[in-house]
Order: sequence, then structure tokens, then C-alpha cells
Amino acid sequence: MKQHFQRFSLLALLSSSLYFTACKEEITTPPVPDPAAAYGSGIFVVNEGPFQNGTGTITFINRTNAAVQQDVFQVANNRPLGNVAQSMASYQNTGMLVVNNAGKVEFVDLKDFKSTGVIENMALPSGIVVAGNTGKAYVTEWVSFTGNGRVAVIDIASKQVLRRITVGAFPNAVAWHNNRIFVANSNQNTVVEIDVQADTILRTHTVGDRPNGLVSVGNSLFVLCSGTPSWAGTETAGALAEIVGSQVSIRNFTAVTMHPNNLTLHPNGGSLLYQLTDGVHSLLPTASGSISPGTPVIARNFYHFSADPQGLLYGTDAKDFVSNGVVLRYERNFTLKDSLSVGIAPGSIHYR
Amino acid sequence: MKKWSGFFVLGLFVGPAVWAQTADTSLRLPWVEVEEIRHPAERQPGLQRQSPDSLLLRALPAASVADWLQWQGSASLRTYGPNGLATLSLRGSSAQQNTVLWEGLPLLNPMNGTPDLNLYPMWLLGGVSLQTGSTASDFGSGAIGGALHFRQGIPQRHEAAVFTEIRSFGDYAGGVSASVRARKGWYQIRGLYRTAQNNYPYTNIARFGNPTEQMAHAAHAQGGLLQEAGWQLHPRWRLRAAWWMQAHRRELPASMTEQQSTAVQADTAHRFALSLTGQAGRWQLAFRQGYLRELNHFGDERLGFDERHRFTALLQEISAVTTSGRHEFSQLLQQAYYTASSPNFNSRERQYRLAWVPGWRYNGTKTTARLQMRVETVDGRLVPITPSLQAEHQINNKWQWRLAGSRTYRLPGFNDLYWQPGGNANLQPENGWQAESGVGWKTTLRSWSFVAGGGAFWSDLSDWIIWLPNSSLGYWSPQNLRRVRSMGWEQQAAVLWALGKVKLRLHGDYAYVSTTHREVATGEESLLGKQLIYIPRHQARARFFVEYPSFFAGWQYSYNGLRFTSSDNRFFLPNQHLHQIMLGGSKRLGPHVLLLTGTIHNALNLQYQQIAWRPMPGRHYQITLQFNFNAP
Repeated sequence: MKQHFQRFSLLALLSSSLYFTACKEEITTPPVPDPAAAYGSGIFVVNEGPFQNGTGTITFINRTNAAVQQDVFQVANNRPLGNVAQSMASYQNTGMLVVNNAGKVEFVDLKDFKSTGVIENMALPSGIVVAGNTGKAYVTEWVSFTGNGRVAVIDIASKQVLRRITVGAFPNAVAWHNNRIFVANSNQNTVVEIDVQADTILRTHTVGDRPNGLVSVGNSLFVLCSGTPSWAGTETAGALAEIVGSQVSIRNFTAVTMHPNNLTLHPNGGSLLYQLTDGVHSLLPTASGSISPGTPVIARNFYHFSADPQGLLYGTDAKDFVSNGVVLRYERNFTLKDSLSVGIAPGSIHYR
Repeated sequence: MKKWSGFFVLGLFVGPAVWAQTADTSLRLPWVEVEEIRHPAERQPGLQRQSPDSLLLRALPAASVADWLQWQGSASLRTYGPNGLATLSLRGSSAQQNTVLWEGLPLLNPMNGTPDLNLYPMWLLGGVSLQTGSTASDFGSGAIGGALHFRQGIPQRHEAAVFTEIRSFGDYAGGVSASVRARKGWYQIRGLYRTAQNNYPYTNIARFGNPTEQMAHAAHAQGGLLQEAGWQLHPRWRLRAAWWMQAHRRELPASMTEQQSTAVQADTAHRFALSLTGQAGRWQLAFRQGYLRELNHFGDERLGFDERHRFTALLQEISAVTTSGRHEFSQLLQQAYYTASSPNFNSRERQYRLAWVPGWRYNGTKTTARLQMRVETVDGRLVPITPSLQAEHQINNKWQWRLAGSRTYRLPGFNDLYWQPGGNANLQPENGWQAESGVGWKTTLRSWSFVAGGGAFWSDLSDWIIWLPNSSLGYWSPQNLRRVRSMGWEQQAAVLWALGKVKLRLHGDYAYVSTTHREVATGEESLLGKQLIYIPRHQARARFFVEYPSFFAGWQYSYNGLRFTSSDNRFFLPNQHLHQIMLGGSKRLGPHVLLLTGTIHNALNLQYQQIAWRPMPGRHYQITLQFNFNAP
């Protein structure tokens, strides 16, 4: 989804009103870090930052008491994170923040969120996942808006790029599943499977059009595909693909106008959740046949929606993209628990 | 060129007409160059108009309109950097809520409606003025905050000028102009070329340790040519034709929070204007025709973009004015046909606008009043009927009172309507009301002259168009979601002193602008009452010029108060104080004059941004040499 926003941001130089071009220069009420707080466990909201000219921020939410610390990277390092923060992953005491337009991955110590290093000169990095206990992280790079993307293999300890693997167009979502790395080429209909020992492509799975989400459940990797929207060509329906080994089974949505996104696993592990225009829907992974969504379990739309494996469901509202967004927290039974103010354009969440 | 000449010829046979040539009666500061007013719509009582000081035009010939406006009261400029996108906010308006007129013809790009003021070089334009307040009933869509008027004067003699300019950071410019005046006509031509590297150092506050870095990928090149010819066909009939072509290529640098940029933007424009003015019986008639053709080429090698966006505009206008005693009645008929193509549109999009504007004007000895109404259709659909009322009253020989009120509107641009994905063909025009009132005062005491003025304004605009993302669809889409109210006041004061050969001018401006959300979308309630982004509540300008016959010195000061960069007003850019100093001298060589000017820009070396994370240059220098042939 975000590649379309990204593309628009570049074109906005030609066409935009300045209404939504803004970003942070000074903080009127600087968040004060709690000296007792550690970032070893909690919720990290990755805020993309104001559209076009802003800087991303990280909001930390204490899972126990819902205490919120805004802009923890800026506070700890006295500098902004960079333009269009995309995603975060963590390994042991290291946090890794992917910043798209800034072309970098920032490394922070999760004890105090101070920067411990940076990999720069990356080509529009987007998603990140840690490969189990290998000490490596895999970062998807769009590279361009027209050609193939790639995956950067990062050694977390040395903060070096070990290798780059060319994949398909617009690699966005990336997942660790069955000791392999899976990368969704979101402008195509393929998912690439990478062997983490040799860091080479083992196979390429054909799924539905525009895969945008990957969730591992047991031996199955579920791939949510948005389908092609009408404005991008011949419209195709969304689909849910299931990859088991080399086998792929695909379930299409019943209507060609259904373009799902935000696939996540319910914390109880029993159902998949995804979003359509009318809200969040639930789906049993063991079901078969075409997908007829029915009534949404949460009847509203989010900029990002995901589940904390240890607790609640989180949906973000980016509002107008030039003011602070909110995170709405839902109980496992889909009732609204509370809402918390976060940074500008909360686009993804890392649970630790 | 052949097909354009055909267009000109066609225009010669279409419609009669004329422009009135009465002096503008609005409050003016006395040293401002009085421009020729040739269109009834520009003789608006109750509204204020400002023009550049003639000294500035001599000292900074290669300056753009954006360069001038950053020192001008009422104007709030937002620029991405030298020669980057520069847009204007007047009284809290957005960039699209102001209009730009060349020879009375709207220049706005129908796709985005955003004029880039760095693309308009003062040298080419000859005459520039800024009018604050709504002129929507005259100029239609977008004339909400104010209007910029570009208009060349009529040369009075054979003359010519050439200049060259060297500025820091690899900035070079040169220009020529020539005018020929004959008994029954005239011709003038102006040309300009400018190139700059813009590789200035800046403090990167987005990087650890705040290192000093050098701006990269920020070069630009610009060239333009403007020609105009006029013929006195008959003692009562005059024909004018103008052609303005311009090309501009610029690299778009990365912001401080971005890694790099390889984006390049190239704009080319051809603009034609033709007018026939005259008198038939008791009617003053005017026919005007314009044709605009512009190409915007955006490319980014790194990201694989190579897109061309084009538009054309065919504009026609007929006006008729007749006078009966102190009363003046006018009829104005305007039509405009726009086409635009873009890889982001499904097809070549078209729009036809037809407007009828009847008006009445009263020219009393002390009071001038004007009542007008604009009725317009867009592709056959009626848009808000736009009435306006303007009045001025000369209380005595020192005091003047003015009043203006009107309805305002702005049509959605082609991008708003047709952009794929996201365009919303069901958008309504932004529309609202506006009012202002103020007083002016002037007096003379021996060799001193004093001028002061001030006034308050109010505007309320509904159905404000805002692009918001739809996360479920994966793209942005515009909606009529907000209502915005602007109110504030503006003050000006000036002192002039002339003693023998010494002339001294001191001028100050202050403006308070409160522009807040009054209605927002569901879930955005926290934005209610918050100031809109990039609109300073407080801004002030000052300038001081001293002239001795052959020498001059000038100082300009610009203050912009805190500007919020997030709509919840949590983040902001700090106050900004800018200074500019210039020194110059001239030497008369027979009928010719040689001018040499030195300018220090950002004299106190302020590290600042006008758009967040877009650094502006620190202190830098400029030397200009100009030679005027057959100068007055």
C-alpha cells in the first residue's frame, strides 16, 4: 500500500498543496524519558512522519500500564530519525529501524534507545525481519518504482550488509517461516523463498496478485494478496494463498472489488484477521473455498492493523497525516479498550 | 511559430473592445511606481495593491517574484529553497487560493492550481503588483487571498538595457531588454538567462553532531523571452500582442531527512496574449484573448520516473463599459477552455468555463463604490454565484476609509478531479465569504511625507479540499472536509524625506493572521481552533532606502513568527529574522547610465528553513552590473 503513497509523495512536488507538507522542527512539549523505563519489552509504534518533508518517529507504549513515550529516538539521540520510517525489528538488545527515503537502517540499544550504528546508502528500504537466531536480518529494498527490488542480508553484530539478493518488483512484506525467509513482491504475484544458509533463492511461489502480507501459522505461510485494483489495470479479486513446502493453494475473495490488506494472526492463534473497506474481518485458516467476508468484527478502517502476540489488537488512525495519530486498542473479543496518542502517520507496529 | 501567427491573425478579427485607463484610486504609498491600469477589473476600490520599489528592480534585476514577495508585507512565502517550489499565502490562504494574472489573463495551471513564484522572473515581466483581498467576482476561481498582476508598461522612448549578475554558489544571470517607440506603435523585448549551482553549506540538524554539509543536486537553469508589440490602429483603437516563452530546469534536492535525490523537473511554457481596445460611441470596449501551453516534465532516474504533464488554456474575454454621469455600467463575458494530459489521468481531460459579470460603479467626488456579480458555469454546471461590493470614501484630505466584501470560491483542480487513483469527480468548489475594512492616512510636513494605513479582514471558507489517504484502498483521495476561518489585521506606515538631493524612505508592515479550523472531519476534533500549518500569526517587514543622486543604500528586514508544521500545532518552525543590505551607484555617460550594485543576502547568516527540513542559504553575496542605453 505504501508504495502508492510514496509515489504520490514524489509527484506532490508537482501537484500538492502545502497543506499536507509539514514536519517537525522543534518539539513544544518534549517527551521526557522515564529513566526507569527500558525498551526491552513493549510496543513500538513506527510513525512514518509528516508527508513528504518530515521525519519519522518511534512511540513506545508500555504493555503493562499503557504509558506512552513519544519520539524516543529523538529524545535519546538528539536528532531526528529520518524521512519515512517504515518498520522495526529487534534482536537481543538491538533494535533496527528502517527509514525509507533516508535510505538507512538505524541500530539502537534497547536499554536506552541510543544509536549504536547505521547502515546507509540503502535503496528505499522497507520491511525487515530477523532470521531466528542466525544473527542476520533481512531488509527489503524497493530500489526503484519500475524495476526489480532486492533483499539486503545484514549481519546484526557488525552492522554490515553481507549480501544483496535480487527479487521481484516492490518487495515489501518479509517473514521468517520454517527457517527460511519469504519475501512478497507486491507489484507482482510472487513470493520468493530464500535459504538463509547460502542466502540464495530456493524457489519462487506464484500466489495472487499483489501480495501484501505474510503470516506464519505452523507449517503454513499465509499470503494475503490485495488483487489488482481497477485504477492499476484489469481489476482482480484479492486472495489468500497458503504455502506449505513447495505447494501453494489459493482462495479467492468472492467479489473482484475486494482488495484486502493488513493480515495478522489473532493472539489466540486460532484465526487470521485482515482488513477490507468496511473494517476488520476474521477468517479461519483451516477453512477452504472462496472467501466471503460477511460482517466485519471491527467495523472501521485503520491505517495499520495488527495483533500483539502477547495481548491486544492494535489499529492506527493517521488522521490528516500532519498531526499526531492515535492507536486504538481492542480486546481479543474486538471490543474497544482505549486509544493512545502516538506520532504522525503511525504506519507499522513492532511487538516485543 | 507559423501556427501561432495564425492564431494572432484570428484574434484581430474577433470582437471589438477597450480597456479603461483611469488611475487606480486605491490607497498607495507614494514612492510605489504607478502602473498603467488597463482593465476595469483592476480598478477596484477598497482593495490594496503593492508594487516593488523601483530601486529593488534596479538592484536585483534577476530576482523572481518569490524573491520580492519575501520582503513584502501581507505575503507569506513558502519555499523549498532557492529556485525550488515557492508558493504564496495571503491572509491565511492556501497556495491554490491566490491567482496570478498576466495581462489580465489567469496563468494558473488547471491541474494543480498552484503557482510556482520562482518561475516568474521580474526582469521579464516588466511590471508586477500584489493585490490583497478577494477578487473572485472579477477573476473567478482561486482569487481568494489575493492576486498577482504581471503587466508590461508602454515604452515612452527608444531604450535598451543589459545586465549581468554574479551571485554566490555559482549563480550567474544576464539579461537584455530593448524598446522601440514609434508614433503609431511600439515594440519591446526582454530576455533573461540564469543558472545556479546552489551548492551552499548548511547545518544538517537531522544528522548526529549537526555537521555542516553542502547542498547537493540543487542546480537550476532558466531562460525566457518576452516580446510585446502595440499598434495605435485608430485614435480610439489600440491593438497589443505579447508572446512569453520560458524554460526552466531544476534539480530537486533531498531534504535533510532524506538520503539523496535524483529528481529533476523541467518546465516549459508558451504564453500568448492579444488585446484590442477602443471606443465605440458611449461604450468602451475590450476584447482579449490568451493561449497558454505548458509542459511539466518530472523525472527521477533512481526511482524510474519519467512523466510529462501538459495543459493548454484558451482564454477569451469581452468587456463593455459605459458611463452615465457618475455611474458606470459594465458587462464582462469570459470563457475559458482547458485541456490537460497526464500519465495519471485516464484520458485527456477538458473543462469549459463560461462567466458573465455585470457590474455597476459609482465615481463620486469623495466616494467610489463598485457592485458586481459573477455568474459562472463549468461544463454546464452552475458554480456559486459570486457577488462583491467595494467602496472607498475620502473623509478629508488626510483620511480615507475603505470597505470590501465578496463571496469567494475555488474550483477543484484537474488533479483533484481526475488523478488516478484517487481523483474525486464529485468534489464541490471551496466557497465562502470575505470582508475587510480599513483606513488610510497621509500628510506632508515641509520636506517630510507620512503615510499610514491599517485594516482588518475576515474570511470563512467551507468545503476546503484536502487529500487524505484511504488505507483500505491504498491511495489518497481529496474530499470537501473542512471549514477554515481567517481573521486578522494589517498595518503599514511609511516616512519619506526629501532634502535637496537626498531622498530617504522608511517603510514598515505588520500583519496578524489567525487561520483556524472551524469544522473538521470526524475523528479530527483535536484540530478545531488550531492554526493552519505554515501560516505565521505574526509577520513584519521593514525597509529603509537612502538615495543620493549617484548612490543608494538599502536595508530590508523580514520577520516571520513561529509557523506550525503539524496541524495539531505540536511542531513548529521558530521565529525567523532576515536582513538584506544593498549598496549601489550609477554613472551617467551621456544619454546612457551605468549601474553597479552589491547585495548581501541573509546578512546575519541565519540558518533557517521556510519548509521544514529544507535548508535555506546563509549569508551570501551578489554583484550586479547594468547598462541602460538612452536612459531617462
